[in-house]
Amino acid sequence: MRVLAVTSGSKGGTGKSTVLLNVAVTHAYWFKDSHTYPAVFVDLNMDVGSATMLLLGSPTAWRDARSIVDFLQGRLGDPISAFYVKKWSTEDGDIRLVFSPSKPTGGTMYLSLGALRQVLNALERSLNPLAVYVDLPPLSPGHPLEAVFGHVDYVVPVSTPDYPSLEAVHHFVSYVRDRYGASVAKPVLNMFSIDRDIEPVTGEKWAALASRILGEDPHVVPYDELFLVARAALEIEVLKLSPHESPGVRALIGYADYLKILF
Amino acid sequence: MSLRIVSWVGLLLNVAGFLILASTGDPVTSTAIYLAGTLAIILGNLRRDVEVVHVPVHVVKEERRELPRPEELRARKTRAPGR
Repeated sequence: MRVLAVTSGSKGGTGKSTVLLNVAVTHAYWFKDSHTYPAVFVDLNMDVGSATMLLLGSPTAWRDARSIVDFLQGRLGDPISAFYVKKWSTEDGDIRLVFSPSKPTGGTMYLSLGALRQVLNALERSLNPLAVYVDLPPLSPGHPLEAVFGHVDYVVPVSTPDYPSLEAVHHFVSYVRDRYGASVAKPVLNMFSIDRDIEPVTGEKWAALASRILGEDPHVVPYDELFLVARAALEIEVLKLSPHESPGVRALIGYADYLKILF
Repeated sequence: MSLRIVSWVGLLLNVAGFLILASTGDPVTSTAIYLAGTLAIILGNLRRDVEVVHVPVHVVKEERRELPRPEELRARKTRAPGR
């Protein structure tokens, strides 16, 4: 069982949840025949996570949902009881994704490495998934939730094409790599405008600049208006848009394919 | 074309104004002719910018991407990712 966690450092709105959720659903589909529950998605946002809302399919259902936060804060004895199974029926069979919704914590949530290990052990024992995908809020070094990276096999960095975002991702990813020894997956350069590929301050191409700052050629996910429509509809992109009509979906499927080789 | 002639006549009147002043010393007549010439030059040039120039116009059709409405997206059948 591999554990992947997404981060944009201290920056929000970079599309972390969108990238990770689409990848998790795609892997859940690809490995549906070899695993009963191939993918487990943990939304550790301390407010209403967007992935949670998409998975529950309702703008209000999160209020009554159990969350892994309930276990971590001592309100649930069994961590598995904080997980739900979402099932989609397609012409190519059923897709199952196990997930734990986010929950507003009403303050900072302290996370012990022991408690998280307990959750991961319970998941491996009960569900034997191929991978666990951890969605996190914006984090800076020293944030209590950074303890997650003590159990993460791969950090998935997501940045948008702007200096603050690239520097924030670089700063935080370097920190967790040095402190926790986590491996870093290929970074995602998200919401990239193909016709605005030049960074205006230095005249360098964004992809080259991202490669220089992040230390590796990024996987580019183009800006796609269809994603705004999908978000407004509370739908997950890869389940409603074909790769032929959506360049964003095409790129996310490509990134899921890249991550697959890390398993 | 007629407007251009008005300008040339105006220029001639300007020169005539100077010549009259030089030969007769009559400031009133020469100044009147000079001013008439200047007015003619202005009038002759005023309308130049409304000359019709035929420029071939190429109509470029902007390619607009038809986006589905959110409710249309919701109504779609769930697809297998990548299919």
